[in-house]
Amino acid sequence: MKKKTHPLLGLHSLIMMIFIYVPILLIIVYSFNNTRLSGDWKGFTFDWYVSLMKDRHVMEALSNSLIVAVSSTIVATIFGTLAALALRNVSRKLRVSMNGLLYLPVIIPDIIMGLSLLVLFTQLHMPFGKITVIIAHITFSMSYVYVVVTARLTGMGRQLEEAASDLGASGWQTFRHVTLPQISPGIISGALIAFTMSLETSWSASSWLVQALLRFPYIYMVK
Amino acid sequence: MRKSKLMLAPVLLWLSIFLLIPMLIVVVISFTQRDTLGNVVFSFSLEGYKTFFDSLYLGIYWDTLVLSVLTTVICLLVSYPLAYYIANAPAKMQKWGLILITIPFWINFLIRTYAWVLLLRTQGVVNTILMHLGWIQDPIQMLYTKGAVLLGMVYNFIPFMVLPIYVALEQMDKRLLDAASDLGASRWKAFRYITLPQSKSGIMTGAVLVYVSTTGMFVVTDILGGAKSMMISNIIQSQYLGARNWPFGSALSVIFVITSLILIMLFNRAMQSKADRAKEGRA
Repeated sequence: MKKKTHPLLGLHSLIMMIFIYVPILLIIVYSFNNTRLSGDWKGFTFDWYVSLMKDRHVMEALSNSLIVAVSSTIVATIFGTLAALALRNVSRKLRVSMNGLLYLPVIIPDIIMGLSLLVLFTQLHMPFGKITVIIAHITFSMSYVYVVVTARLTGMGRQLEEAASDLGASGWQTFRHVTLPQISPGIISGALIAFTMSLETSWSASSWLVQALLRFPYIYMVK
Repeated sequence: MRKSKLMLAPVLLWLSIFLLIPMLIVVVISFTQRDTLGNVVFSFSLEGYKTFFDSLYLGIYWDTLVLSVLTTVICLLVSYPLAYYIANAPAKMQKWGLILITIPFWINFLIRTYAWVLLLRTQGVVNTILMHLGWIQDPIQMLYTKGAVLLGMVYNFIPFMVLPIYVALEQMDKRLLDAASDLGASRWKAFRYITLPQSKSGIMTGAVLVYVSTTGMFVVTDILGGAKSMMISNIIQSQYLGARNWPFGSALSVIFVITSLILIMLFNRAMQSKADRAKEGRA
């Protein structure tokens, strides 16, 4: 039997949604605003979208951002999940130290991680571009996946997996039909966070974009 | 066991190259000097650390800590009920709730933060509405205040709090609550002694995510706080990219990471003892 949640909770959630969406809606409205500079409403126009589509730089930047976000999310999700699964079966000492290592990217602010990677890439004479950005994004987002999947695994317990293998399931079958379905909400949340973080971090946008207020935000400076 | 170690190998290798080595380089640089051109000179020096104890930097450092802790607390207070509501909704609604919360945050935070400029500035949406309603006579100065920075931070990091708490609440065994109410526990008691302790891991994850993201954020401060409010990350960034004082920037980074570590450990311990108290209360 399902208990109903308190109506105040529903109200709070509604207010939160409004809080989250008002700025977004405002951006959408202003993207049709027929003026270049001010934030005042000067009439309706599609001009920004037309010039957006025509602008090769913007389209290239958009595709770059998506390439970076998708590829770093995939690798980070695999790495993070692997680590979370593997660390259940190792000695306590190894687990504690790996856990600490995996927590570091979460604890170190990305500005510091970014700058430290900048120093490394400079030392290695690696050209800055999509690859270096993807590397940086994988490094910080795999930890988020790891944290979320581990939280899920910890709450899950091992009885079901043990039951499966007692009943003759192979390691892979147990993983595929018991473990994976149970941790998938964790993996999905982790991947969502990784993807979000990746798009978030693309702040190195050129400033003319910001002035126009909308225009696609996902910009990387690619040399 | 062996298979597990094999699974760990790529992760360990990756983190060693792209996390440990760069961080070590930063630690090393923090103990060096720079020459007049801004190049790093590899001779031992505590100059970077000495500069930090200037009252100006200490003040900014304190402001950063206060703002980050405040952001975390407010995020927790507004996100927990939301995560709770989503976790207790029907399965289909849960998915939609999560998607609805996440999508806006795929729009770059720069753009989202500029939306708040439109809302908060003197001729902005909020002031216009309030004046039309006759609640205020003159526009209120909202932009370029610490409150605006706080608001921008909370707004930007809500999903980091909601998602982990949701994950923890969703996997909670709801039968425990039925059992509690059968045994005569009030709703509040059931929440206090069952739901809250069970969602502890989510709260901890969320709090760490929000806290660290806030400390590392400098763009929001620039946009909503104007030149008046500086954060430590603004300074670190300018030391690396503008002023070219890498030793000082690195020293700041090291101090900063260590403080965060200590705070997070204290927080962990506090959460632990709270859970223990809850257990005692239940017994």
